[in-house]
Amino acid sequence: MLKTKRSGNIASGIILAILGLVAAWASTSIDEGAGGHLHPRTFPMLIGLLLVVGGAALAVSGAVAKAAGEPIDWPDEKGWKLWLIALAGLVLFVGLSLPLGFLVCSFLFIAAFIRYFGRYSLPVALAWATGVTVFIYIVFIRLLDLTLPMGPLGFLA
Amino acid sequence: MEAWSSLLNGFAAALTPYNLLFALIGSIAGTLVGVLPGLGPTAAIAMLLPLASHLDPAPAIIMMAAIYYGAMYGGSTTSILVNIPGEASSVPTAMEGYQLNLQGRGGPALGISALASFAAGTMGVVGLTFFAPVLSRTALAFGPPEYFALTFLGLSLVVSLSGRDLGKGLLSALLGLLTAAIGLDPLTGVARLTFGSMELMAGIDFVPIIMGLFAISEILTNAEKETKCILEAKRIEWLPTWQDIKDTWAATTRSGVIGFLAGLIPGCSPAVTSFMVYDLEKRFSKHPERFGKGAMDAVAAVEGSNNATASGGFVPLFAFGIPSGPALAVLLGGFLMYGLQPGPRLMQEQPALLWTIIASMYIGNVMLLVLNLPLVGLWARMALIPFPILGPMIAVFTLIGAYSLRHSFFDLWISLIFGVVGYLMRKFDFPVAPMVLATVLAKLMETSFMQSLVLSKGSPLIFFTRPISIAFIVLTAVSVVSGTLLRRKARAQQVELEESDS
Repeated sequence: MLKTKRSGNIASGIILAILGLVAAWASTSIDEGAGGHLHPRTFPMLIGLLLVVGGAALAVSGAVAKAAGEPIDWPDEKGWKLWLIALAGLVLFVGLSLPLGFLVCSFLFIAAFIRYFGRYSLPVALAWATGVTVFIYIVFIRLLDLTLPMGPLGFLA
Repeated sequence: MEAWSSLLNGFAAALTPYNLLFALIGSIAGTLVGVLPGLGPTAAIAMLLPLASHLDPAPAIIMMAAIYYGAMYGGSTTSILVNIPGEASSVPTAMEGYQLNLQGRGGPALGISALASFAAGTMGVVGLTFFAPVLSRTALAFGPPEYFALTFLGLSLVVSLSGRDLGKGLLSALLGLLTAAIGLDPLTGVARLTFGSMELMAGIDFVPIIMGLFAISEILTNAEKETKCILEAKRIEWLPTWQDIKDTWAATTRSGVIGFLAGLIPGCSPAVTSFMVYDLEKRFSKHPERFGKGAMDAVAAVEGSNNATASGGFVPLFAFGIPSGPALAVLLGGFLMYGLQPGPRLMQEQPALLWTIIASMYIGNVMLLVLNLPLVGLWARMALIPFPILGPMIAVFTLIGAYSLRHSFFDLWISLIFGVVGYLMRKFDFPVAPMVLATVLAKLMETSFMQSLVLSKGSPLIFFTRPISIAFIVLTAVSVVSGTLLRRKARAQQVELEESDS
């Protein structure tokens, strides 16, 4: 499925057309504001409709194309696994950054990434994670006075 | 002659050790905030305002101005090295500079970027010194119809930014426009496409989008490929050669002029100038085929224009007290803190202060070059760090940058979502640049269009009755037609090449 550029064009065209349709449909419920010469829905509606037309044109051009085109450079099974693990790591980072704070999340994410993707020993991974976390603390929090969520390390802020 | 003698007096004041020290502090702080993604000069100047309040006006404003133009020097570093453009104006630098880095030419790209920043930045200060009174009127000549026509011209660049497939480039731009349409209507304040979400009411900022499209999608792509090191080349160059400098000086000079002129226009996003000079260089270049694969002249032009725009922005600020962007608005706050109101009266009442600040900009640019050039080799070595170590660092700095802008967790999710979108766009061969350009331009475009219609009581003829607006519309038509012809020519050449190969 979706192995070639042609099938990719059909799929991405359909997705964009649906997205345009949703935008156009959602635009119909936009209230009228005061003070403008154009209804606030004009631009979103126009963009939505253009996406429907453009997406459909891309899908149709893909469907009628004779050549299948080059293959899409999808990862193999192992590549997908690595891709998903990297994404899951990022999702966990963002999801846990409020309760645990940026420093703890950065430390855990960096150590886990280095250990899993680089196959480095645990002390090496922990050393890098500690170094980067200390750098973030000194530069972003102490020096630049940035307000980052700190979680249980709130006393360091 | 008057400008010369005033400038010499300004140099005498700016070269005192005390003022030099604060120019140096500002340059270092500016470089630092420029290098760190997401942290712009606006936040840095705002953070240092309380410190500046303990100083005399001259050193305080010298320091804040140095942070502003210093940030433009540092902005290219992460774009070239790790594909994180901290702001929209660095996107073309990332597109070309990162490719050069993969080829082992990250060092020369950083060096050329510093040299171009210095040369074009200094050109901008020369413009500020000698032409400010003449050109300052330009700032007042820009009303909503002119802004709309300018953004229209900016959007026409999609034609040349679309790569192989114009249709996909246009769809990518539409996706950017749709993203920017989410939130409150700029004129009436009515919620649009928010689906009842409070977070979406504030709109989607383009910085987390850019971070996602570039940095996060880069991490995902490298993770799936088990990349050991992002550097693909065996041979690594650390510094630019004379040939690099020779190849890029013309691009730097052109971008210096265009950047300075664009800086005169208040509210004109520096991203518009960046993409415009990028497009222009593609047309001027002897090797347009290198664009997208690592063009050194593009890096020089974009970084040069960023710095010249920064210098140009001081013209409307000094002449009328009009800040041309958020960072200069905070700097204006710095002036007001001392009871100084930039404008014609300040030019008459406090000429010594203004000339000291202008002279300090020449000195600051030299300091920044001296600071940045030796760091080039050091920064470039970052490319040697194995990806499993560099990758999570990129992710963490990107996410901190995305968060720090509005202190919003929602922006972090936006970065991740657009990371996946960017990944899919790469796989399906959709160019990312048109989407970024459209996202950045959309708000200004729509607002100026609506305001123009209010001015003209609903008549679209307003865009065709004002000379600057007409000039931009004509330029848009020229840009689209010539861009289309160039695309056809490039395609014909490719077909010819393929036929001769077979």
